[in-house]
Amino acid sequence: MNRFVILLLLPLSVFTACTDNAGGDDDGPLLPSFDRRAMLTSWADEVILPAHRDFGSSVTALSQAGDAFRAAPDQATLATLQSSFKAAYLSFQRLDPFILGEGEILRFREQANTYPTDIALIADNVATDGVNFDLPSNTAAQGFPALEYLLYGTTETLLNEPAYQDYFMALVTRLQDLNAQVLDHWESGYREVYIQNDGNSATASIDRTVNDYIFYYERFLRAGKVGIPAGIFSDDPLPDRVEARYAGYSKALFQEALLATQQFFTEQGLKQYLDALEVRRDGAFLSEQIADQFAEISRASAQQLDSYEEMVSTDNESMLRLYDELQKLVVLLKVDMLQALSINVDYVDADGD
Amino acid sequence: MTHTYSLPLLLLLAVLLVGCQDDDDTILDVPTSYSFARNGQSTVSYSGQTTRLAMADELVAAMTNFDQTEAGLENMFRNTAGTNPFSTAELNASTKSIRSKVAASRDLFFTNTTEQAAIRADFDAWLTAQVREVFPNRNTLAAQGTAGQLADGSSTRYVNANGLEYNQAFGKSLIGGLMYDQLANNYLSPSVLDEGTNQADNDAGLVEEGTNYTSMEHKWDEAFGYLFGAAADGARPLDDLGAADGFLNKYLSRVDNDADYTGIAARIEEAFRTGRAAIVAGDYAERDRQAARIKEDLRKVLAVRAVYYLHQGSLALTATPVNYGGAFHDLSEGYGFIYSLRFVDGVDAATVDGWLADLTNADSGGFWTLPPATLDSLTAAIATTFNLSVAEAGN
Repeated sequence: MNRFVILLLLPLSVFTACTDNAGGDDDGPLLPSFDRRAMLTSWADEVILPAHRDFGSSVTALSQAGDAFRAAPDQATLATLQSSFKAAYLSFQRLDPFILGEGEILRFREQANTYPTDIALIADNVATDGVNFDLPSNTAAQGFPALEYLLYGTTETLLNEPAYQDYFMALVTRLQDLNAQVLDHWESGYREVYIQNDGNSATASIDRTVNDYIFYYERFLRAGKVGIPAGIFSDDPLPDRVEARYAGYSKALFQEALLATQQFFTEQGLKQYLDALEVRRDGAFLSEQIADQFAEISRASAQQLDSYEEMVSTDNESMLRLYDELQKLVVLLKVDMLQALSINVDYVDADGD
Repeated sequence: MTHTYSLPLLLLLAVLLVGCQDDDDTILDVPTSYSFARNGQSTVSYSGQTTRLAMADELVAAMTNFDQTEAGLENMFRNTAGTNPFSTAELNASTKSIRSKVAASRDLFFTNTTEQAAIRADFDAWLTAQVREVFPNRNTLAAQGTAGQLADGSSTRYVNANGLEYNQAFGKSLIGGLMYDQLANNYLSPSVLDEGTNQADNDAGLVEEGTNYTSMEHKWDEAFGYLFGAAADGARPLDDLGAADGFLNKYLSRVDNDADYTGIAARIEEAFRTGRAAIVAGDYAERDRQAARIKEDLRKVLAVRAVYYLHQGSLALTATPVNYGGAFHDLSEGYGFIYSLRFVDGVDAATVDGWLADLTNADSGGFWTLPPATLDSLTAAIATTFNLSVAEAGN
């Protein structure tokens, strides 16, 4: 019933959004005193664009460390290369929840972080000239998981071989190029389009950003990093599906991603938006319940080992507890928050075949 | 004068007939699992169906194995003698084949070999086109007018120049053309169950030579086998429903998992048990009532999946950004389920051909340029034909 009332109001707010260029008070009867355009501006200028720029810098540093290693391969240059790699991977976690627009079209997330990586395909590609990284079939042979395998996957480091060094550098260059394309798209006009599209239709920026954010949370943070390896979607746990399997720091990546997701909610407008609408659930502010649940997830995560492969193999129950906490937040975000903000979910779970 | 006598006489007869049926209903002993025995030995047998399901699974997988050839795929389809096209010695040693049972039911094709040949030619053509059109472009990005790869999430799909995945068209069409057609239009048909002296033999408990089952019992089991023949425990086929094979079993599970249709799988399984018990009891009217239930529910499974995939395809085509890989995958599966509808009651082949032509959009860019409005009205037309709601079937 509620949904239909909202649907009836939708055309009203869309029309107002079109005619009122001043912004800020175009929210109609639903949203009394909240500046949607200001929130979008902070999302673009304080979250999305900085995340792309920081990521670009971290990949540039990785590229330089790669060049230094290639010029003089030894323990010291390898250590620098590995630490630059970790810094770039962490930086990607802060960007990942906010890959939208051009980034979605380019499949930036898939190409940067599909794991487990395809070791056999990497070996084939290393032996092949002119590999086309645009091909979807090469998705699992590039990005961070492939780089991680080259750095940590074998006891005799593959990177002593020039062919593997070339492949490594080609993958780094590809990450740079993809990020540069997305950033360039934002900087050459899309930022303004994004901010001005401040209505509340299904294609408006707030609806799409929030949908992408929750989609990321559900599919990649909850399921990808924890649920799939813990065996939630299979008969048995799958320790080989963890992120950073070879480097062994799954927890650090998870926590970085969780922090980025949490800060986006608490510090960049969604919490304030819910409070402006005075959204309560069982008497308490919904925003506080969401913030509390983020804290619960952090607590559950703090008890984990660094390596989720080890975690899944030795104490999967602890992983299941972490998953349960993550799952509780899905309900708060996807059901309660979206209903309060009159945003419809724009994605469905694929049926998997 | 004659009129005044005949009317009460007819009424009396009618009462007697109804009375007989009621008597039959009350004596059926239905076991809790699909287990039937004579003299302490099981009478249940459907190994031929299990074999064909395994062959079909291998063939569909082979369609995206780029080391395959036209001849290799066709040998798998026909199980050509001497070619050993399958991965196991058991399948290679079998005399069964997939192709000989495609569009081969008594009810639909006994006197219609023209259409049978045309349908088999469609399946042959998908195999051939996969090798000729898609294999050479396996390392090309697909675009309108160009076969090749498309990303669907982290999966890679291989499509023709119109965006159609031949392997999906083939696999999903087989669900109607082999599994449903054999199950519903052949083995559950009275013309097969009651063929020759089957009723008298069954009444007398006369088993087929070298076996422990009557001919009628076996026919019914063969129907069961096209749905449940790959189950780990055939007596309890709901235990691994959906995981047993990639065909009718899998999609019955999918429909059963939709809250709008929950219970359909248990209903079908129960009808199979009840009908089989009715055969043991010699109650052929009850047998046919259960057969009609199974047919109607499986017909619904095919129609629901057709509507589901078209609706999902429409959502993906109207997403921002457009999810071509996801949409084309859905539409390719939908293509196969629509093709399968030519084997069910209530719609003629010409109508199905029209739906397929609308979906394929072959003359103006294929799936790449298919207007979502065209797709939505096609979805609505199919839903209406089968008395379904797009909202219920489409999620």
